[in-house]
Amino acid sequence: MKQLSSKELILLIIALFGHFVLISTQATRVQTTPLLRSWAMDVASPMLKSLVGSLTSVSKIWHGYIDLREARQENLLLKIKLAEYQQTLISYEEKIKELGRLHVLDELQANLEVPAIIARVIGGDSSQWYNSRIIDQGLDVGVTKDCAVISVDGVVGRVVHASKKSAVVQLITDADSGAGVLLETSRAQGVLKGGGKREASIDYIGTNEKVVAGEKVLTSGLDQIYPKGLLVGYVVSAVPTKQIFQNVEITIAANIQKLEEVLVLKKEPRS
Amino acid sequence: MVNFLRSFSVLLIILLMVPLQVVLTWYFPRLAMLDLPMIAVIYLTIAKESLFWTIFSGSAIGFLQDSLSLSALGMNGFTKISIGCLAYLANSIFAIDRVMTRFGLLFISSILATLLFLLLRIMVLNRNEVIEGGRLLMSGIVNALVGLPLFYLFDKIVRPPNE
Repeated sequence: MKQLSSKELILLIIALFGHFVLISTQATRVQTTPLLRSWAMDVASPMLKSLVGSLTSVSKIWHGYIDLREARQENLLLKIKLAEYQQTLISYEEKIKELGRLHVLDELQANLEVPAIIARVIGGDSSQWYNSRIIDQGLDVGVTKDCAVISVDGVVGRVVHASKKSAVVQLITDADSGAGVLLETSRAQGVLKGGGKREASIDYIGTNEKVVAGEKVLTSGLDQIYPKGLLVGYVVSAVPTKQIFQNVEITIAANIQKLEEVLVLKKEPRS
Repeated sequence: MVNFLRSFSVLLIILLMVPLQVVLTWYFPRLAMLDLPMIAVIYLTIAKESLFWTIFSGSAIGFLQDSLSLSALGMNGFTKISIGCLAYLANSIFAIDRVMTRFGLLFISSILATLLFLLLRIMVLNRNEVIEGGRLLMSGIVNALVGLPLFYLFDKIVRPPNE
């Protein structure tokens, strides 16, 4: 067999390639994919698929990251918004509650025989030895020393110091406080002494008086500070002693620990 | 000028301890045993190492504290100045710059301040008082525990960074 020369081989290749190109151009005319392209595509497509797949994945990851960041930011903004709305809601609820309390105080104020003003509690006692509250009304609006202070539940205490814009109220539970009281049913009179917490005791109730647990304790008006008939608390126990007076323990009606608004009864008569 | 501003800011913070105490005791009645003004006076005493500061701050804070309380004017001032003087003496003997010495000083000062206040109420105001040991100890521990971080905070404000 005759060996092909190199010139011949090159020519063969060129011819084959030419033909192939020709066939290919003809194949185009029949509306089919050129074979070269098809082969090229067949060779390239797996690589392209892999590449595109990788790029898509990267792109997806990138977009996902961007989206996540945006979503995170959005989430953060939404959380802030939600917190703001919650705060607003809480503040509205508080306002509604406050309006309710103030409304009750207003009604109480209107029913009282003495002029009164509403005050807010703005602080507690600065030491552990006393039970007092600071209120936001003072001499400017007629709050003076010894004005009685009440809440919707009952007697709270009396003003002991007053400045122009604020006043210090000695709570009825203070160990140094005292108030003239009487028992609703038995009409026995005594002096209320604070016990430091929500409890208090009544001194000078004779052993011959019949005191029942649960009986209402009202102000007697004899101390010239608290008007007569205000609710102070309820009798918890009455223990007779060998002496002439019995030990009467009471619980204070007003929720002293949770005071927010109070009514200060002015000294001057209602005009 | 910087020193003046530092001193002024410390004085302001220390004076703010009284309103803070008032608000705290209102919201958290159990914290009534905490005596922030006393802690402030003790700090000022050992930081400034001057009796002038002890007296000045003790009087100012005590007056403010009494004004917002039922106590007779001067009760807290007296107590604060006395305790401040004791802290001043202690500071001249021991170096009150370690955690344990500070804890000890605050604990003992708190107990002494309570006893002194009660003594004043009994002797001067003719009140009957019962000394509750448990409450006394608890108040000492609470004041010492709260005082330590406060001292650290004051240190950051009062002392220049290079000290």
